[in-house]
Amino acid sequence: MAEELKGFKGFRMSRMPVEEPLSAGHRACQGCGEVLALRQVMKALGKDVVVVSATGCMEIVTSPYPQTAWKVPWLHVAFENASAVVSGVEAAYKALSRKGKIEQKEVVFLAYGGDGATADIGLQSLSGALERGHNFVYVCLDNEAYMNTGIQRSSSTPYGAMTTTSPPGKKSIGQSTWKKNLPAIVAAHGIPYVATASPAFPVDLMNKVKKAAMMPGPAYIHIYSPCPTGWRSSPETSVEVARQAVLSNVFPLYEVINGRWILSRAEKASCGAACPAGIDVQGFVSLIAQGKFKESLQLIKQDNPLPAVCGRVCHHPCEFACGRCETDGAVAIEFLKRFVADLDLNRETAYIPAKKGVKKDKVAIIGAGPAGLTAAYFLAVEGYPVTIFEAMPEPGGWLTYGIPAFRLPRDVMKAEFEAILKLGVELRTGVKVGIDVTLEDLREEGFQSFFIAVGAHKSLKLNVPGEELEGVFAGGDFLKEANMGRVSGLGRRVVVVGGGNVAMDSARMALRLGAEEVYVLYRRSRQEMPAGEEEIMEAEEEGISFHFLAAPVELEGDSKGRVKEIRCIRMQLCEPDESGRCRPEPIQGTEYSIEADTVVAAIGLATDLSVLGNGAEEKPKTTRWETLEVDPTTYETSIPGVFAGGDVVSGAATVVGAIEAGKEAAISIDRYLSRKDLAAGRAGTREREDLPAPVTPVSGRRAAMPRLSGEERRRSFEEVHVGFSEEQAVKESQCCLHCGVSRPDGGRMPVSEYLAAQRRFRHLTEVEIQKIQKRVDADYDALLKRCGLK
Amino acid sequence: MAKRIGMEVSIAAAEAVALTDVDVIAAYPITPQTHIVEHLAELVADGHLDAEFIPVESEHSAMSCCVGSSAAGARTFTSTSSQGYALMSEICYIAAGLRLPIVMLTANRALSAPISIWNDHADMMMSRDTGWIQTVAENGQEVLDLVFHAFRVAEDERVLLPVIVNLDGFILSHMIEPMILLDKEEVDRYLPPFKPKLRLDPKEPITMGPVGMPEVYTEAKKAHDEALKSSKAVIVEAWKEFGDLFGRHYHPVETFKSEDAETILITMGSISETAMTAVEAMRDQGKKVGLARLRLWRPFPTEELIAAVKGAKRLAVLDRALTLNGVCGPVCAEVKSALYDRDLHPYLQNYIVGLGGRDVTVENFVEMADGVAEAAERGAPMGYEIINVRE
Repeated sequence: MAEELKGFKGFRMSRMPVEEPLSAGHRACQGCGEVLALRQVMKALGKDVVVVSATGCMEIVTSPYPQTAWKVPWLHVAFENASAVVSGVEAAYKALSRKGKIEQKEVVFLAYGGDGATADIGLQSLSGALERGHNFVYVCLDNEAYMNTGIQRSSSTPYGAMTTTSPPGKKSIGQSTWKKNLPAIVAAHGIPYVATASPAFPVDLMNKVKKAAMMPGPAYIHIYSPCPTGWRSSPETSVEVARQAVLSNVFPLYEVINGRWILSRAEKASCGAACPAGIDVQGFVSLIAQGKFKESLQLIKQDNPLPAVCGRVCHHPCEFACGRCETDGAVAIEFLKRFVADLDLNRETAYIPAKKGVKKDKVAIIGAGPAGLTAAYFLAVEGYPVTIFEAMPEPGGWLTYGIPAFRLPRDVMKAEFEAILKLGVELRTGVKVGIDVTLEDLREEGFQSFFIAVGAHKSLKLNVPGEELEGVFAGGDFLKEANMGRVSGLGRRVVVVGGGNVAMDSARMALRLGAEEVYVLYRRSRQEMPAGEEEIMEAEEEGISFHFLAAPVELEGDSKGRVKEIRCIRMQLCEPDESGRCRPEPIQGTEYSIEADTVVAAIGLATDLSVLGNGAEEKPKTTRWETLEVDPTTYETSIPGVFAGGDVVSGAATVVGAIEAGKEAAISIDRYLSRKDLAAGRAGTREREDLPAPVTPVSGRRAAMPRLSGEERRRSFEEVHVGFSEEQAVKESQCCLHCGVSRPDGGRMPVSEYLAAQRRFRHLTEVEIQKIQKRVDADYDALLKRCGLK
Repeated sequence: MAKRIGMEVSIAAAEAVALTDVDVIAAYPITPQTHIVEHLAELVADGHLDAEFIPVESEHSAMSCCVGSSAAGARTFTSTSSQGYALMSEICYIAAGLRLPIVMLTANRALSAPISIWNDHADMMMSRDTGWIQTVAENGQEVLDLVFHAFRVAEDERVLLPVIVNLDGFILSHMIEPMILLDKEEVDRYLPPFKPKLRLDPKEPITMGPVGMPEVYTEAKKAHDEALKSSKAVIVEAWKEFGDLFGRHYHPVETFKSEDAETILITMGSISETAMTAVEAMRDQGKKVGLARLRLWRPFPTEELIAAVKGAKRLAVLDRALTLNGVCGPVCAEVKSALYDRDLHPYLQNYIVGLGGRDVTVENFVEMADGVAEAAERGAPMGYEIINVRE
């Protein structure tokens, strides 16, 4: 990245600047893509800017004296000279501030013009200003013809387009020349920053404008600006046309920073960037919108082999990063994922990816939880013989033994596991590595590389008197036993201590196992609860009572040694601690008792490192939290070839975090076994510092997940969430704002689809369309080469 | 203290511009303006002048830069000639319409075709209707003095219009002359710093150059016309103050032996000096010939002209440019119109002289003065005549 852009902070849909330097009240046509783009440009630049306008639609619609739509200084001089005028403005500021005649201030100098004012008559003055190196931003609002004078052709008019001076006729197909590649011509001036942008990708556009302003010296942005009036397209399709131009490669988005060509396609939307598994979220949502459900699932499975699981229990950071978050609610990404995944659960027809090859080196994976299964999946796809060793009778880890069936039905989960096993993954259950067999034994058996993903299942203790009483469970054990069907006789009242998801699951599980009353005891207040909002809400709906700001001090038993009462003390919140949460402190003299037939202490989970065995062999390094120490990029432990990930490394965390670890470890293991550098090109690629702070999505527009009612589900292990109908899913997916620049399927939109939306191309024959497609392909190819991608 | 210098007028003119503490200079090379701009570039390069020198890629861009610079509140200067003026002329209208106090030195030169680098007033006439104030120098000293005057008038809040100072290409621009150049302190005394009322400033945003719909266009033009008309009082006032301070006095119309003249020659630019020599010679011969020289071309000094020539029986109006197949040359057209309005009807002959660098000699002036007397005698029809045409 250029030095000057080090401090660059991107815009987010959820945090758009409020200022509108180009205010509403202009007189642009309905659906004008140009004024939309210009508004985005101005929003990005803010108010410390001087604007120079070329003659054109934008000048006319914003400045009919005595009205003006401009809240920033604005100067219009003529058609072809905006670059020269802005040179003068910039030079004046330079001279005046140097000479102390005005206050030194950071002012951005912006000039803009249409395609004619830039690529035709204004090219000379643009070239001069670029060559002289003035510090300014030039924006070309390219609507591909002289619209204001009556739709005459310009050098920017695309081949085949109908204009009034390139009319199709018996001897002409319309515009007979190819669109001038102005961004490349500008880039040839060797200026620091050049970019193309589209108003259909507002965040990308605004980020580019901001970068252009930050780079010293000339910067140029070429913006595709649909003109429905001139193009004879429907005004409401402008943004869609602007999107299609990008998706069909007719108008690819890229930057040239200090001579380096960078394809903008790499820029992920914030949802995808927020996904630890790296799912192309925008892509799969788009495919659902197009009704391409199978393709959508396949796109997800490129990054995550457990979409039906994640579609139910993921903490969905993607939704917190969604561009619609703060407007009318995040797109229901998690539920959409579940929708396409559920369509693929049929064992006969389930999607199984093709294997890329056949490898000989055997890989052992210890633990069949989400991390282990994911690693197995990706390694199997690479062609490795993979064996998973699982201590429990069933695979799934916490998914099977922690999460209750009413949140994650067993058949759904199993179907997804089977799809992984069908790749040829061997599963050995009931094998406790470290006890039944050691890593050393496995090495002798021929395993070349290892992935330890045994999770964190050991429950933390309350550390209060009475914890040994009968009827007192640790949260993790309670769920494990309950999920195995081995819990009964909870009594009338169950008290769950803790505020996380394990506590919520335990409480709801207790209801279903016959408890009449379930209390949750939490030492902080509701807003500090680490459990997901939805989980808390659903627990409340089911009739679970919450006792906030209370902590247990002692458990008292009856004469038979069974718990009968929990003594609590009231808490108060003090200053926030290092974690940012308010530290609870007991209020002396506020002790009270609650009757309890069963107590579940769901206050946290820890790792169990018995997997490392008691033998004399060398063991991977551990941390003071009893987790395994790994390289954050490669997931390699202190022992070469032995990798670890998931909760055993992170401590109890998320499913999708485990999937990320499995996926990354698989890459490392493949590299390790291929004798390649483990870290090359990977360091920092998973850092997501630029993500916005999570916000609570507002509801409203967002489709609600159909659910069983609180009453229906209190005593039932039926899945609470019913799932989206096809209609609901398609409608919801269409709410995606396409904040990012990635194409939905990594594939392409045919140029014909792009041309079809605009009447200016309607006369083209199939032969001409093919010719355009060929040219677009060739140009895109050349662009990829320039970007070093080919 | 002002100092007496002997140098090429272009170089001295550049020194004068530098003394105004100009902020931005944007110019494109064209003969014969070249030395003015070159010397300013040198002064900036050597650090003698703290200004931005923008070496633009065309005159069109030169004027465009000047518009941007002046709109941003900088004291702004440019210089051009002939074809260069023709190319920038589109923007010259706008500079004036936006009321930007840019100062330009035009080293007057003929227009193509055929291409000629030599002097006449075709470019000055082309700029006639752009709405700029235009003054005309007859010698190097006047060039310097008019430069200071130009900035003073242009930036005056009562005026706010751009100013062209015309000097004849080569004949003046490349002449080495003795001149008196004011010093910095004197210039500062005469020319206050430029404090624009309105400038492009994010702190106080303004919209400049908006669309003039039919309901406001006429009013905008009327306002511009009024501004130009009323600038004359400020122009005269600024000349008066210049005279009071430095002893060199300037007027919209300068006269020479015109009080009792029966024949008055009307000239503009450097030929006026030759004309004075001729008038003196004719006076020596007892001919009642005088001279009126237009110092101010726009706004046109109607009253001053009438006052200068109203006693004359005959006028010989010299034009150094041709209005191809019009009634007469451009200066003559103005003079005739001015007289007609005052119901004055002297015998009037229009001579087109000195096109594309053709010399105008003392003998030519004598011929013209005699010619107009003789034609009046004959009662020949009034018209225009291109003199010194080789058969």
